[in-house]
Amino acid sequence: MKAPIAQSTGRLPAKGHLVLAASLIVLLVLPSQLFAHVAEGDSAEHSIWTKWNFDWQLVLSVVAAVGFYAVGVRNLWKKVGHGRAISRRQIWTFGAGVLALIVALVSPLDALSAELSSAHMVQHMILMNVAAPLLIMSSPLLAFSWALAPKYRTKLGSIFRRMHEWRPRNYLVWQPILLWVVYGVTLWVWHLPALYQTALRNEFVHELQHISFFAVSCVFWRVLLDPLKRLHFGRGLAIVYLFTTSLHATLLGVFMALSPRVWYPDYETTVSAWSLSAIEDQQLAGLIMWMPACAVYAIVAAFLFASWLQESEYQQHAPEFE
Amino acid sequence: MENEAPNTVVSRRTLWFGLLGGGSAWFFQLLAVWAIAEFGCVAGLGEIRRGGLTIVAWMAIAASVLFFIGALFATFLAHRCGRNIQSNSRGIEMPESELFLARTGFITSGIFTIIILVQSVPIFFYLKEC
Amino acid sequence: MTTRPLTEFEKTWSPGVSRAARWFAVVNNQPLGKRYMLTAFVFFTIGGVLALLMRVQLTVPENNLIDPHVFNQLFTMHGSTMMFLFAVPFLEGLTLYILPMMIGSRDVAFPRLTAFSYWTYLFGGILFYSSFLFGTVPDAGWFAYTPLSGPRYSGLGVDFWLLGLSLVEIAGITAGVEIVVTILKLRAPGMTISRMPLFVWALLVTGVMILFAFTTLLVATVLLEMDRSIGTRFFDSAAGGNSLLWQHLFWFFGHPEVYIMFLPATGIVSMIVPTFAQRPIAAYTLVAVAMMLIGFLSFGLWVHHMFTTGLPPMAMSFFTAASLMIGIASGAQVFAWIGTLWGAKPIFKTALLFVFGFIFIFVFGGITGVMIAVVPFDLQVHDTYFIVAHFHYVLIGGVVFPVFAGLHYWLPKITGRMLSETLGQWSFWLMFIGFNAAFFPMHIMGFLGMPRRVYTYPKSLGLTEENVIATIGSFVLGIGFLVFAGNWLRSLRRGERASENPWHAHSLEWSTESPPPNFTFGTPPIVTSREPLWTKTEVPAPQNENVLRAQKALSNAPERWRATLATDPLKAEPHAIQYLAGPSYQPFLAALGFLTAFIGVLVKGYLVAALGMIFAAGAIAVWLSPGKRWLQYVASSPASTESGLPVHPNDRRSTAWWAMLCVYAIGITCFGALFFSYFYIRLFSASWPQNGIAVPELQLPLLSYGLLLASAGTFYWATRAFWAGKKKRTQIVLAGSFVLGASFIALEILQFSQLEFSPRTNAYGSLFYVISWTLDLFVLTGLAMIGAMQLRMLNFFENRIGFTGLQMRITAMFWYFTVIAAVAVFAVLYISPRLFA
Repeated sequence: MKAPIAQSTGRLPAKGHLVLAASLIVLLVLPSQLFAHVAEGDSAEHSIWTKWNFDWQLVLSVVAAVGFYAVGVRNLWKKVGHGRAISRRQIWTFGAGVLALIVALVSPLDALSAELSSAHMVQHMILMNVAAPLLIMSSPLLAFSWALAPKYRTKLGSIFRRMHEWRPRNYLVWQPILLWVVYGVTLWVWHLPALYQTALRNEFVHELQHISFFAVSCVFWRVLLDPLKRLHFGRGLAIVYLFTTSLHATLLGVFMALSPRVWYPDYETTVSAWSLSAIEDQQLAGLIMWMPACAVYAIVAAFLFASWLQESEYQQHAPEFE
Repeated sequence: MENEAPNTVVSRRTLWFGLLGGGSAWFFQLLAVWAIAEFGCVAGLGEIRRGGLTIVAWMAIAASVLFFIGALFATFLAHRCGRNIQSNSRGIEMPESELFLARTGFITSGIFTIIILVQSVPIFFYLKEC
Repeated sequence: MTTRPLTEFEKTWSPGVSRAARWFAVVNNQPLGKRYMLTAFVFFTIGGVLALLMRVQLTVPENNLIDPHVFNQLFTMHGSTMMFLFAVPFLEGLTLYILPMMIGSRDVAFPRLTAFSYWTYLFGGILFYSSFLFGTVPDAGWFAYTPLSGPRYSGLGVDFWLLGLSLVEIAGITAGVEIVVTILKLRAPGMTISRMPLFVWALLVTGVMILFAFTTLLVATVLLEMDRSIGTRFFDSAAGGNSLLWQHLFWFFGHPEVYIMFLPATGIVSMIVPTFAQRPIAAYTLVAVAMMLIGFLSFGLWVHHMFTTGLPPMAMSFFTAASLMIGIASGAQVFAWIGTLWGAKPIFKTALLFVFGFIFIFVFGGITGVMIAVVPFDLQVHDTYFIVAHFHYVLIGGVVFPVFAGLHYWLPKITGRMLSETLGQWSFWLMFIGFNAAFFPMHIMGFLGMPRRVYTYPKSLGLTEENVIATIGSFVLGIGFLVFAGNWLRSLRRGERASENPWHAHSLEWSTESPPPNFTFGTPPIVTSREPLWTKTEVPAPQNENVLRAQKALSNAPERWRATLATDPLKAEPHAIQYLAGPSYQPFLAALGFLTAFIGVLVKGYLVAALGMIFAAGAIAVWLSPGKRWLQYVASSPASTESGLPVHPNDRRSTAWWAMLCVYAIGITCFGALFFSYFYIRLFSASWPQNGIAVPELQLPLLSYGLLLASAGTFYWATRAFWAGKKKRTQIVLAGSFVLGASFIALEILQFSQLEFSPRTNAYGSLFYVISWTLDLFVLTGLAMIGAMQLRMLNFFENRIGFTGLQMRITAMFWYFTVIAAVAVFAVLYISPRLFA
């Protein structure tokens, strides 16, 4: 899979250039606005379902990502054959991932998350545990690099390759620990009342929160799910990594669900419109983190485990002893 | 994974339908009957009677029958898959995993078919009126 | 047995040189496994007798044979015995015996740890039951909820319960380490992860679960015992503690515990079913995945045992959904068994009958479980006999029946004699019918409102008939057990001799003699498929040079020391020759030291307790310090040179390296449980620190923890020097680490003397001190290890690629862990109170 990046000579079709140019502008000019929000105070229940977040920066960046991906896959397939390097199934995963992003950030869920901490929890969960793994599984970097003109693609490809070949001492020991810790710290620190409340009040901090959740999750899941096998952890390690992560995430959810006090008093004013008390809302949020979110870790672990056994079985049937 | 093994005689899709069909039929029947009863009554359909039963009850029965047939079909398919696999793969290596899917499907879908049937009985007693 | 003189090899492996040594110094897995199982069975019998006493009392209404107080003691002891002294230990014993054979190893990874595990278990059980001698039997239920079990409302009985249990937990944790490392490191060459028997998979999952779950329970029992003995306030709500904390810690153990018992049981079934169907298990991958998933999910569900904690009703739907996932995973296993038996011509031996009994009873228990999961129904039957009936269906159906299936299956291997099939069938039908007669009526009693844990019931309840049937049933069940015991005793004298493989089974344990020789396998087996005994001839043996060379080098060798082949955890390629320790009194003495210490705590004689701990520590130190000449002899043996494999590899080829990972898991769980307690109590406190205590000053802790952090740096420097072969520098720099660590301890003591609060002030004080003490304990252990390292380097520095290197590696792993733990402790104790006030 290294080869297609390096030996790239494919040409972009005219339409592709157009989309590309538009997307590039968006991505270069407005990187920090990637997850921008509509900041609105008014919160009447009946109108929440019509509050789609058609913030132009957000919509454009999603469209750009889709465009990039489409163009990249098209170029790639022209070069190496239909359904090669990026499989048809990966196109579906990408679609599902983008859909998850839209549900999390564009749909009324976004507006709702300003009123209910449980909705906010669902939003974060979709970002971290649904969108991120799905997008990672669809090899977006490979596709994006193929959307570039050949010159840049070659350059980018070699940068990627150098990044992947870079292995400091004891890399295999440090990488999982580091990723585990970064993910855990991100998860816990953002849920500290002070920071969370700031995010609710300040749009920039809120964006920062979403971006860091999403980015950290992408890195977290990549070592488990990236289609490139050599970027993977060993499967056994992966299961331990997920298991321990689910343990501490469970604990956070438990604390949230059992707490006798409201952690984020900002919701107290908005929650009443939903005939919930703030504490009930928080309990629900805790339970969402505790079970559905942690079930994702368990399910991924189960799939990794199954593929591990099958790979091992496959290797045994291969003629290794001559 | 995506492609079928050369010695299979049934399609992977049929097998999975046989396995999951019964369970999903039960799930959707439950949802459908609940939704029909809940919203049908609110919409006032419980007032209109045809042949001694309300429209709501008729709709619920129709949904139940539909999903019952679905589940029964899944059971039948699973059973047929199992038989086909057994009869067509004599001599060659038995495709164990397919056979397992077929048999498991037969049991689960069968159980869920019965569950749907049992679950439909209360309609006659409790949906006389809303 | 022939009477020819024993060869040198056989002498090396014989359990002990003298009669006394054979009893107290034995470390072989086979005698210890048998002892474990026998002891567990003795406790099982006692627990069963207690149950029968309760049944006798309940036969007729308003009976006053047993007074309410004694009844409380009976159900407490019955539940605790069955859960802690029978189910888990029995499975551990069976594992210790069968596991090495099944994976083609000669013994478990740490033979002396096996002995230690057994002795602590035995002492714990004896301590537990010695409460009868003093007339203060525990009576707070098998989960010992606070405040009922707290210092104010209960007597010495709960101390017996807690301390006895702590010893049993230590035994369980050590057995967990043993199981995990043995499975990962000692599998026969070629037994890759996808060729592991399903019983082994079940045990691997169980072993990991034990590390997390039992450690939490150990922390919980220690905290409660501290509340009771030295007056800490963890569970005392009058002083800022929280009695619900006990429930959380207990059920964080308790829910996985159910699966810790259930998974090995299903593993047994997954071994028996293919044998009697005479075909490989259907959906191997599915079963393995299901077992892993069950283990994974069981840790998230503990709160569904405690709905009184203020969780909203909507929480139930989440738990139901999550339980459903476990249900699907369990169901997948049942389907795999049915799929295996379907179309085969099963051989209906007793073992298979028990499997059928298991499936029937367990599925029934599962259905009642679903009923309980329906909230209105649960409200109706909560704390009635319906619940009693449900969990006996699950536990007896899910654990005891598979265990008996396993016994009928493996006893011919263990004793070398076949059991009588006729008696076996009798015992099965007596047990099956007796069980259902005893427990099915309890469903009805529950429906009609008979509450559990009450010593009698009024006649007007109209449940006399049901109770009479239940009592008769329980006695029939008891007779069934007796018939089994008779069958076993009869087989020992008159049973037909068992051949190597009487069932024509598929797994490796059936390839040695019955009973197996002390060394299990003279020549290490090589595995080429999932069912090595069935497909032996079909697949050509691997022509892999290394494997054959290792096999040859270890064939009835080495002669003067015990060894087995260590392999790669995934691909099972030979890695090293694993040195296995020989007979020793130290494990027994160490366990004795623990027992003394615990008795000291029990009678509040803390000097005795301290002496006991020191004695135990000394015994462990001697146990872990092999002499230089012995090490040289072992390392230069022909087995090593012929096979080209090292004896004491100093990296992750070593079993000790993997055991350290288990120690990490234990340590993380230990601190995790303490931190959980800290933040949980904080969650419910109006102010933090409680009662206007000031947050501890930063200066002194910054210095002490800074010094500890610095010691990690010097330690790293020392390891660099060590691997570079610079003896003097290593010694000096390592001494520096030692001094830094020691000064940490000194500064801690200084700081404690300056604090305005004590562990007895309130829950905050208790948490502060106990978390610090735990860290200090780790540091002290680390210091002892550094000291031992210094001693080793004095006379055996040159052995860096061997044992000395390994010791350095292990010490480093422990020390770094301690320092990281210290950083976490510092963050929790000193930073977090300031961070979000």
